[in-house]
Amino acid sequence: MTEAPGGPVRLAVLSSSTTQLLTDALGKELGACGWIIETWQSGFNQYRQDIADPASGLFLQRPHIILLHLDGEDLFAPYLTNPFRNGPEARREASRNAAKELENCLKVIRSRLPEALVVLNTICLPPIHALTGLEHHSPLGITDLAWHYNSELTRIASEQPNVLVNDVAALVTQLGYTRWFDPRLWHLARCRLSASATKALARSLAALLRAWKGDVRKCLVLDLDNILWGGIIGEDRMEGIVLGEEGPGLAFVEFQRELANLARKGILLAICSKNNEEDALEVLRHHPSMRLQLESFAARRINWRDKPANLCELAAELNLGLGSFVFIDDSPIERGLMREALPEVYVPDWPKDPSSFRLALLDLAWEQFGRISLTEEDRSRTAMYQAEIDRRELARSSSTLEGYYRSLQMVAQIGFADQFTTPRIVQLIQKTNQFNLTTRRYTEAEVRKMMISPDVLILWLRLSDRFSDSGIVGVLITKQCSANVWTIDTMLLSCRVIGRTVENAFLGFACQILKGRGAQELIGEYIPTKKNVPAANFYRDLGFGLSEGQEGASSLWQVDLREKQIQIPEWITVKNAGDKPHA
Amino acid sequence: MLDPRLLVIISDVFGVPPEEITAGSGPETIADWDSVGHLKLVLQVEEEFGVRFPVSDIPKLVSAGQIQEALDRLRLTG
Repeated sequence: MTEAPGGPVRLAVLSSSTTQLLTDALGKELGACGWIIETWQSGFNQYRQDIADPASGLFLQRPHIILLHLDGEDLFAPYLTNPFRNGPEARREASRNAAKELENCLKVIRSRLPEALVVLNTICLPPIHALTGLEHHSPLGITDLAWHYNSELTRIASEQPNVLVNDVAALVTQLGYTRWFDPRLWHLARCRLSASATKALARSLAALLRAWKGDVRKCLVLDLDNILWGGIIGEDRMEGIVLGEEGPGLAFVEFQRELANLARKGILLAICSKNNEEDALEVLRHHPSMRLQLESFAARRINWRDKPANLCELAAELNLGLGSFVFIDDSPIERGLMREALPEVYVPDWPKDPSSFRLALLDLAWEQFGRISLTEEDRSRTAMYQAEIDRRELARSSSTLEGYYRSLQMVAQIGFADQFTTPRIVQLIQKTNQFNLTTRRYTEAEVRKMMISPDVLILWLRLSDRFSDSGIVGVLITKQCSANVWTIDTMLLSCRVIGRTVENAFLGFACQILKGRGAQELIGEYIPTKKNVPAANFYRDLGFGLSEGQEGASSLWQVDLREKQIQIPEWITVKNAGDKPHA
Repeated sequence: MLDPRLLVIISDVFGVPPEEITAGSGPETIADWDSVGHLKLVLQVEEEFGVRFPVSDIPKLVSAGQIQEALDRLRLTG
């Protein structure tokens, strides 16, 4: 499990049909991921009234998340009851009107709960109906109601902040409409979801909300024999393993292709396999049907030692907590050993049939590695970790630490948050665990609000060196609390640049900016978590004095900027990337 | 006789100890056995036993004993 979000999350569910079963199932799913969920349920088809009434339970609950689940069959009921009345133009108009009504609902919610996340859904209409056969051959139809409505949703989500769209239409297709809809539940309880649909929808919503919160894993560790190819390389040799463009070999090729797509989303791949390394490397380097190469993997352990020990080493090498890992192995014994030894690592059951691998991976990826946005850093993540291996080589050959820092030729660019850098800043705020002094998990809407506030400065730091450009890896949020006193609300650095004195340069430069704004005193805060020990002594080591609390525990630290200068290490070149943009 | 699997389901859905469940247990004796709880229970029973109750039977299954009888009937005829 990754870092569970702090404090209870209030979830309100509104719907055009009965969704109590869904609400309970979703609460259970998120509860199993360590979330503390408090739910509020609107009545059957009461969503319009509850949104319109400022004193309704919805607004009394002050939810963090609002699930507004609307069914196509409710939105377009008259068009389904007698579908012979309306031509294409009338249907287009009906879709537009439904979307407009939804936008009005959003507007009212926004005016009362500006920070809340609203989850909408695409719709699916029954695939077989009175017009089956006539549709597409005459002006009659119903399916285009859903197309138009769904494309309106995409527009709404792109125009409005804090709106997510859960793709219910895709889930219906995946499960099949006959399994999705249970007419008995509709007749008895006005519920449009079957038991299987409730389960599938709750799982998908949990994945979506986890992705939104940044409660996701980061690295997929793979076995080799009977996972990346069929057979055992040590026995079957390169020409004997099953991997190719036809038959069962194609199943492994397609699985590898999907793994490559995972890497393109910024999820790290690693190898943990019991083999002679030379045998395995030969396949990775020279097999003509391999879709993954040696460079596709951020790290590897190919040896005969036990896998939990190897996985711990991978965690140390990649600088990730064990909760960031998912482990795939074809052997139930290895899976059992891993679950027992390292319960934080997620170990899914894995199908025996390689033809099922690709779909199992896609399912696993949405559940554990969900992404709802993609940054530049995501796309080049594996290459950055490989540069880290070169850096370690350099560190080994340098005689002093300072000599190593100097030879890295580090350049730090520091600038103010703007609309282009905000997505990455939010991603760092939500995912950084280790060098994170306060671990405050702000949402995109909260960051955007602070960005335009006159007494808040949000700085980012981008680091490059002779090996790679690491992209934006640091965030510092300071708040002015009186004329010449500022506090550091948030300071964090991505784990991939810890231990290179970048934090000193970042704070040193921030102090120069603050002094320029008249700051005389700076207060830093440390809030301990299970994972942020690397940041525990940051303020002490820079010469801040303890003003409240205890070292290593929740504490406040203070420095007088008139007396003390926070030095920027001379081996880091700092460049100013411009002033705070105007609100 | 109540099937032990039925006892486990009723116990899970409503959070009551299995030893307190009798053939007479129903909405009057179990607080959470309301209309939504009833659907949850019936759906769980269907999944566990691989059966499907017709729409008109579901509202009648309002005690542990009646669910058991319906299961027995389905298995005799099915």
